[in-house]
Amino acid sequence: MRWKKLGKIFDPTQHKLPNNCHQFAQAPQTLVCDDFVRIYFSTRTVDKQGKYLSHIAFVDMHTNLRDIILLSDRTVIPLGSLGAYDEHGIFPMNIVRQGDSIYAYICGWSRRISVSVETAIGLAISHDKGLTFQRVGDGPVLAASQHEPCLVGDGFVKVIGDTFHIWYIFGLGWKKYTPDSAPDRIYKIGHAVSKDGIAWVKEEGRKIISDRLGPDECQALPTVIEMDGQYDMFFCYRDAFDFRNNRERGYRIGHAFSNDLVNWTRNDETLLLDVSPGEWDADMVCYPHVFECEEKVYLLYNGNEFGRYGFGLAVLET
Amino acid sequence: MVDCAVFMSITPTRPALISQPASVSPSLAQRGAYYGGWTRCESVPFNVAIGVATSLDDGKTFAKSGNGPVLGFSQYEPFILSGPKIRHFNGTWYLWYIAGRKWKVVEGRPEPVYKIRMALSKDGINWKRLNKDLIESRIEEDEAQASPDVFYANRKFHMFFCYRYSSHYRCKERGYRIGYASSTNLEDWTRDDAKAGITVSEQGWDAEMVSYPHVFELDGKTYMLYLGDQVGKYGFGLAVLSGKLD
Repeated sequence: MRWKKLGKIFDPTQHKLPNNCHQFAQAPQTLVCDDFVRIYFSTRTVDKQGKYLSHIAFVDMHTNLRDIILLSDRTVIPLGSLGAYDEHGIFPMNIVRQGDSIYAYICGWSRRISVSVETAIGLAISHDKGLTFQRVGDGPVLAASQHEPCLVGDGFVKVIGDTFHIWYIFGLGWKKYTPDSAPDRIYKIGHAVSKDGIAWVKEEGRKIISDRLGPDECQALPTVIEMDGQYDMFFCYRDAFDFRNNRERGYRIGHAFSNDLVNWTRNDETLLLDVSPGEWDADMVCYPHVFECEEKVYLLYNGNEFGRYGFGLAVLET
Repeated sequence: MVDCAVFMSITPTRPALISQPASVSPSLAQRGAYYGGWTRCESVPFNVAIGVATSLDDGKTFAKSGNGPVLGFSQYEPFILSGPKIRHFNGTWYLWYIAGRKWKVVEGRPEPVYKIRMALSKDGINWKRLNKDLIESRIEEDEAQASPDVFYANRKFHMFFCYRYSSHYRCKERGYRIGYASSTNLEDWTRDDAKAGITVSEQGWDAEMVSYPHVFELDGKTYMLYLGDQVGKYGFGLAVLSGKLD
């Protein structure tokens, strides 16, 4: 398996975005349409305290994935209400077609005191072809539970047969790695199934992807595609601390495969999509999203600073 | 999840699925506890979810069954899952609790509004939520209801709970009072606060509010433990039932 990098395809600082957002186009996720691809991403503004709020926006691109057709000019989905799980941001938002409507699994963020944040996954539905989404309930459909105590997020949903599958992350907890540093989180990839996309049965704390960087490895944003009768999962992983500015400890793209959706074999000893020295993705590669368009398999992903300056594209070489 | 405070409800017998270690004698009673675990938030003062713990030393100490909640946030119960009371009737575990409806901003301060809810379980771990408010709101739409406790007597189920106004409730006029409802099927409840049989005192430790009732039987008498002024800042008190619940 080889990915050929096609470069950065969207830079949020070159456009006017709704909700007064200026930087960040994180965790791009696609809705593939007949003659264009709608790419949702999370972008940021700051509130009165100077803290970030993540909003969803989208860009429509020609199927050549180079030319921009349209940029969202209004709110795709408002943030949650006071005290709700998605009050301070939505990042990311995963899209699944369901009949005439479009489901969005939103990862909602809300701020905490002893640790910086908590997350959970909620459902919103669009009846206008993905221009806007309305929440189904003020609370999440997938949240912390007995053996997944915090930070349930990064959902990726795929309907296989008559079953909804969601791959997502859950937090094991928070740890202070040095006396003076803020607590850092540790999260792993998990899996749940559902008949309706709303009521989920978790595997409850089972870490489906083995660790490469030791027990505190952080694994994020799984994305799954079926190719030649096998399921391939891409995700990103990093060390648990000192990962923001230390290139050696930052996000890289991981890979695992499965034939039965139960057992996954990790297979990223050789990096499939490594950083490119001197480029926009020289320090880290993260938040992968795999999709098919016109019989090609693509991977959208973020580069340096977790996508502050946009996202890029790679194509699978056969 | 739990870093601030804990409210507990103790079960007389353990839920079936919490496995008993083989080394423990079956004659040694194992106690289960359902608790509201609190965590501090930035935009609102706190959030709460319900966890489970078990005791092998007759309730002296408890060990959590997991680091996360068994009843956490969900689509129609978005925050403040608290005040659990677990009861066992007719082979089924019932959990009465409260779920937050909204945070209402009163003079710049978020005040929580919550309602009484119920969930059912066969094993005490996997809960099916009823997803409806059990008790109609009486004093106002945003009435906050808390601490539901259900007691069976004279072929009926009796619920004691407390309620307050949604704003300016830290005073005698709008603070917590104890309410009452009854049911024959555990799901449909008829509220009749006049039957609560207890209210604030003329003076003393519970002159401003009475709240967080817990009803139990001992030596043929029915007692109610409850909190007084400032939601228990200076302790709890006891009342004994005269007459009978019917």
